[in-house]
Amino acid sequence: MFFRAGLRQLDQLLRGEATRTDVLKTGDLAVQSRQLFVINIVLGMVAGFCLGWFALVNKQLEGIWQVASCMLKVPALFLLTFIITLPSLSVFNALFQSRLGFSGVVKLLLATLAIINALIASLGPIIAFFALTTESYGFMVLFTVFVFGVSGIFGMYFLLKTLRQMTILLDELAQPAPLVDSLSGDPIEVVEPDNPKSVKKLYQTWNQQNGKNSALLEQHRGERVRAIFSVWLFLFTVVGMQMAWILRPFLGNPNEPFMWFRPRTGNFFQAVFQTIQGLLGMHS
Amino acid sequence: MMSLTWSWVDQLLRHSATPELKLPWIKLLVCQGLAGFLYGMVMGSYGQWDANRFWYVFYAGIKVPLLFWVTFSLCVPVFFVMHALSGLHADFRQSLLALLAAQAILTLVLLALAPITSLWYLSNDHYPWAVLFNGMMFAIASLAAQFYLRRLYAPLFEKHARHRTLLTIWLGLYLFVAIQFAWVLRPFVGEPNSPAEFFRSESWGNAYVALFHLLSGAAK
Repeated sequence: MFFRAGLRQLDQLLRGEATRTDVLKTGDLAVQSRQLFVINIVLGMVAGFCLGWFALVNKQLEGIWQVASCMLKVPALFLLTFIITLPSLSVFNALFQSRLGFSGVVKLLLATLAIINALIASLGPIIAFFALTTESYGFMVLFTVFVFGVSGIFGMYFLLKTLRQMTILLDELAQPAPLVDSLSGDPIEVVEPDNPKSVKKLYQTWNQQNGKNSALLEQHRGERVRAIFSVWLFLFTVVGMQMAWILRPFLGNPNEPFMWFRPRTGNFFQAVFQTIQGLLGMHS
Repeated sequence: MMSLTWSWVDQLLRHSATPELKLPWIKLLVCQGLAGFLYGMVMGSYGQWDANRFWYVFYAGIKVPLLFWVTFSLCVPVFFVMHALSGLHADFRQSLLALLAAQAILTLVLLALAPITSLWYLSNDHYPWAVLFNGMMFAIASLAAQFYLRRLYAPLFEKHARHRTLLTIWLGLYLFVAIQFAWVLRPFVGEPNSPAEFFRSESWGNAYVALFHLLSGAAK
C-alpha cells in the first residue's frame, strides 16, 4: 500500500497537481519525502535494469553482473547527486527569501529527481530495444547520454518553475504600483522588464523619487534571482555528469570484461567528444 | 557561548533590508572563520591522501579565512575616510555591518558548494582543472554575496545616492587587494607530489606584474 501511495504521488507530481499555486502558498509541496525517496530508488532500479540489457545481449552470462551493477548504480547516482546538491540548494533558497523551508527544499529536490527518474525509466524500454537491435557501442553511449540529458532538462525546468512560483519577490510583483513622475505627478508609461533601456529609465526615475516606487524595481530583482538560480542549475548539471562519470561503466564495453568501476581518467566532455568522433569514423 | 546554529544561519540568509541593521558582528566574524576554514580544508584535499596532503588541507583551511579577514581590514580605513569626506559618517557603521554580513554569506555559500568541489576532485585528475573549478566556486559565491549585499544596502541607497559610488569604490578596492593577497597566499589547492609549504618560496611577487608578463609573453 505504501508503494501504491508513492505511485499516486508520482502521478500527481507529473500532472502538476502537487505544485499548484494554492498548494505552494502554504510554503510546502503536496508530497511526502519518504514515499518519494522510495519511488526514486525503484524508478532508478527500473532504469538500471533497462541499461543493463546491452551487456546482457553482448556478454550473455557475464552480462547478468552488469544488470545487477546497473540496478545499484542508477539509484546511487541519484542518491549521491541528492546528497551533494542539497546543501547549496538550501542555502541559495534561503538567500533568495523563498517561502520554502528546509524540509520543503528536500521535497523539491526529491520531486525533481523523481521526475528525471520517471522520464528515464519510461524511456528504458526504448533503450532495451536498441540494445537488442544495435551492435554499435558508441551509438548506445550517445543515446544513453541523450536520454539522461533530455530527462535532466525536463527536471530542471520543473525545479525552476516551482521555485519561481515560490519566490516572495515575484508574489509582490503581482500588482506593481503605478509609477508617477516626481515633478508633474503624471503617471509614467508602463515599463517592460525585458527591455534594458526601459529598465534603465526606471532606475533613473526611481533614484529621483528616492525609492518611493520600488515595486517595479523588485521585478527587475526577480529577474536576477532567476539568473542566480540558473547558476545553481548549471552546478547541478555538472554534479550529475561527474557523478555518472565516476560510476562508469553503465552499459559495459563489449570488448572489455565486466568491472564494477573503471579507473579514473579524462572527463565527461572529452569522452563524449571522442565517442562522436569514433562514430563518424574520425580518429584522434 | 556563541551558538552558530542552522536557524541563525537561515535567518541571516533570509535577512531583509531594515533601516537599522542589527547583527552581531563578532558572530559574523566567527561564522566567516569557521565556514572559510571548512571550505579551505576541502579545497586543499586534492589528490592522494598522505602526510604531505594533510598539511595542505590544514594550510588551505587557515588561508581562506585569512584572505577574507586581512583583505577586509586593509580596506576599512579608506572606507571610513571616504564616508567622512562625503558627509556620510553617520551611516558608516551600517555600511560596514552590511559588508561584513555579505562576506559571511560568501563563506557560507562556499561551504554549501564544498561537496561539489569534493566531487570534482574525485572525478578529475588534472591539477589545472581543480584550480579553475575553485575559481568558479569563488565566483559563484561572490555573485550570491553581491546579490545579498545589494539587498541590505537598499535603505542606504535610498538615503543617499552617494552610497552607490562608495560601494563601487569599496568593491573595486577589495577585489584589487584580494587578488594580490590570494597571489601571495598561493598555493591554495597544492600540486600533488610537491612538498607542502605555507608560502611558495617564489610567491612574493606582484599578481598584476605577473599577469602583465604572462600577457606580453603570450602576445609575442
